[in-house]
Amino acid sequence: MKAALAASLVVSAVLSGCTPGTPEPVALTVLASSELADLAPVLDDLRRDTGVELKLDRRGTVRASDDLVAGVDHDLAWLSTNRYLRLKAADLPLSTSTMLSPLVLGVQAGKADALRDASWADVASRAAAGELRFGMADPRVSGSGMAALIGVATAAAGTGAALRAEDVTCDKLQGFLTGRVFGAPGAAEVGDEYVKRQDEVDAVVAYESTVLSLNASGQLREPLEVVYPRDGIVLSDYPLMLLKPDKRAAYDRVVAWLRSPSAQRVIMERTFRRPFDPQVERTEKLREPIGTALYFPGTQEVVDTLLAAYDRAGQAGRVVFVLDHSTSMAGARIAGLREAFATLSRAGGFDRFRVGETVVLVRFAGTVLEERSVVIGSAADLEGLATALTTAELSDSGTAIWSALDHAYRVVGDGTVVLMTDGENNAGMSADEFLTAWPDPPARTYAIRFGEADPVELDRVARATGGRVVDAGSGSLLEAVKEIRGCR
Amino acid sequence: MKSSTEEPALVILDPPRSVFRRKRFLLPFGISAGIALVGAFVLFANGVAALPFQGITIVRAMMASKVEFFSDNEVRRILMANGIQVHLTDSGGSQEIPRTEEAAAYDFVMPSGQVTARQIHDKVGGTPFYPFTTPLVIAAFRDYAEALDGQDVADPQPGKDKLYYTLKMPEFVGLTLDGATWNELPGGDLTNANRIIAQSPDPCRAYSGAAYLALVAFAANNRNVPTAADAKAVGARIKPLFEVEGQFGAGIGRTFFGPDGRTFAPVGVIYEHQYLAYQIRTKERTGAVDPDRVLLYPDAHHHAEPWLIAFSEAGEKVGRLLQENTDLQRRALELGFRLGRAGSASVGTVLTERGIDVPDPGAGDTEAFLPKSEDLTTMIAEVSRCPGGVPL
Repeated sequence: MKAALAASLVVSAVLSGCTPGTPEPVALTVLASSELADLAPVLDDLRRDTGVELKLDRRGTVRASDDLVAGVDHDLAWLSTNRYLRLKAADLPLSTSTMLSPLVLGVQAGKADALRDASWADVASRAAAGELRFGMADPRVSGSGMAALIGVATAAAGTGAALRAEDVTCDKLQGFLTGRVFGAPGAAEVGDEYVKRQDEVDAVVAYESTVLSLNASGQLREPLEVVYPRDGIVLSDYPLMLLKPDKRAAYDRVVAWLRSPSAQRVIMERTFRRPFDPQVERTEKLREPIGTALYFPGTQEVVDTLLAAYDRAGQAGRVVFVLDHSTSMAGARIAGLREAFATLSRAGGFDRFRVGETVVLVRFAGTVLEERSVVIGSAADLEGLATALTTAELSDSGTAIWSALDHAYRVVGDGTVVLMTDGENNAGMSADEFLTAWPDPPARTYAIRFGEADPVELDRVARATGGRVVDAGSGSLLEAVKEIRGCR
Repeated sequence: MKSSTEEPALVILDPPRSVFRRKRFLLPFGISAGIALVGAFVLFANGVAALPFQGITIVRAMMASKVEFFSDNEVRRILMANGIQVHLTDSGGSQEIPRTEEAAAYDFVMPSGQVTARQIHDKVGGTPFYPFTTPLVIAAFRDYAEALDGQDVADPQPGKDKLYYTLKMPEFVGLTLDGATWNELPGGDLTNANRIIAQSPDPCRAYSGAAYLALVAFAANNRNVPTAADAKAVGARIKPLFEVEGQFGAGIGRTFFGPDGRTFAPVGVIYEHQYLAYQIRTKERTGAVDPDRVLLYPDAHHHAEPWLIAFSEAGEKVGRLLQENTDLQRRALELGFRLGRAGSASVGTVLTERGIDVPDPGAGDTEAFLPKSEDLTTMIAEVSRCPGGVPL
């Protein structure tokens, strides 16, 4: 049947008995992102103007996307983004973007100066040092929380491309997550929680709209400054999606209303979201250029990998550095080692030492010279670690690689071992004795080799634990250490 | 480590109550009297109904980016004056227009380009109309275009406002395959550390995505159209380029021109008409063109020809109007389209009248013929996982 045959109407017939009253009232159920609670007054206007009442059933965007794929009974969905849905679903429902808000950090003024024009690496570095404590929504549930993880991980991978699962093999999120003081199930709840805990923390990771709404709420003792992580913006576009095709007429009415300049203006003024319509003049705060967007991951596998890393957050973390201090290390090599520790303690972006981590230094030559354990609880501990090696003397007693590694395995607990050496084993245990003593090595082991070291057995041991040997001969030691930071 | 691009071992089955089945195409055809009443009232209020009273036909249509044409107020007014009101369904991408009888349930469909159109027409029939064409192009912010110019990858076309460049596709594709990032372009002063690509809609969903893939393949294949013999190999060669973007974005035909355009995509695939319409509008509103947004014309180019495929008398009426009505043709030119087979009036004239530079879409003088439909399918399958199956 051709639709048009049924669709002819004669205007005269229409005009005879019709006045332009409100169309017949309709109520639609909407699976909505949790932060859309703030639209309540806008939805009242919508109902008044179009006769359509939207009943929001709210939950986090990530959770809602899972539920949509499993099957729900709602008429519409209105989520911060359909990107999580697209990772899972073969076909997308009819979808119309309605408004925009980027993921940002709302930072108290005292901490904001240091973060102006910050990158994700700057944010992660400050968080790892205990200088930036924040709340963020749970990425297992919330789109804003997941967007933050994707932002940090994409920047940490540093490929300039969308994050792939193989880019996340080593966990570079933990420095950033060190700063996470509290969570919440959704973007709205994280704002509420911030209000309660604003004296304990420095910042909140949330949408720009949440941060600006907090500032306007009168509930903050100190206003928040919006920090846009300029190298990896995730922008939400709040698509309204039609789940039940037989609600199409009402859906069209709602979309037409939401996209009208007057509604776009009301949304902007009441909820601080950016209008999707470029013609609508923006308020001053919403004119701020946002920055470069990251390329969004193309597979669900990446999201799952990030969630696994998130679940490890807060685990103490322990790493044993086994450091060759034989005389052959004199000169540039020992200088490079000291510089690497200074950098990892003071800056180092995603790879720096972090609060909560325990760093054990085992210095060796012909025997173990010193073992020193630093439990990082504060910036002072980090500073101590930065200079821990500056006065350490070298020894000409030989190179006892296997004895040093044997020592490390006795103190490693559930941590990882990083061994740095430039020579052949010529003291202490032999490789055979070591392998007999540790047929099943107890910790993931990485070795960083300089110059002439040719550690065939080391490579064997490292690989047996799932680690490997990294060559610092060609690049800097710091780069070699960064390559394996977060690997476990 | 398993590559993210391997086929997954698990196939995601449609859940029993999935909302994503294509039921949405099965629209209820009981026409809501409410809509018609509103339409009629609007008509009356606009004074159009001062015309002799006549039947208003509501025409149902499905299309992708061409909704921009039918959403235009002037186009709506002209159609209404001819007794037509078009009720649009945005498919989200031309490839999402069904190649089944579901398409014929509409009065007409309007896929954005001829390859898709031909397939729909072959499978479903209908009466095709050819109202206009528009080149596939790359929109860019000026500093990005200048950075490419600095590397001799793009050449500015003559014109007082320097709005147009010719893009050397083999060199541009080479930059991506080399792994270069925008901030690495010498002298470019760009801070963007992302890899150099033109962001493209999903080739699985959008005609522009599929056609851009064909342009890239032509460039990467020494300016030869891939054939059955080498389509798979060429697809494998250009696959890394399309993996850079991860999940494809939606088309940027609208968002590129907004205040957050740089965040949506500093460089991305669009149709020429979207850019020209924007500059014509901007000049009308502000007296000057927007100097910050420019167009890159691939030296091997493709003119997309959206077909209007009618499945009913009412659909055919719209097709004839678009092809023959001078008011609609004039408006199409003002919206940046080229008339193609439908007439000789030129978008160049419309631009010149308004003092806007006229682009040369064929400066490279190479028509990048698209590969045969089945070879394009082979390449799309190689490059992109189409969760709903390769649509071509």
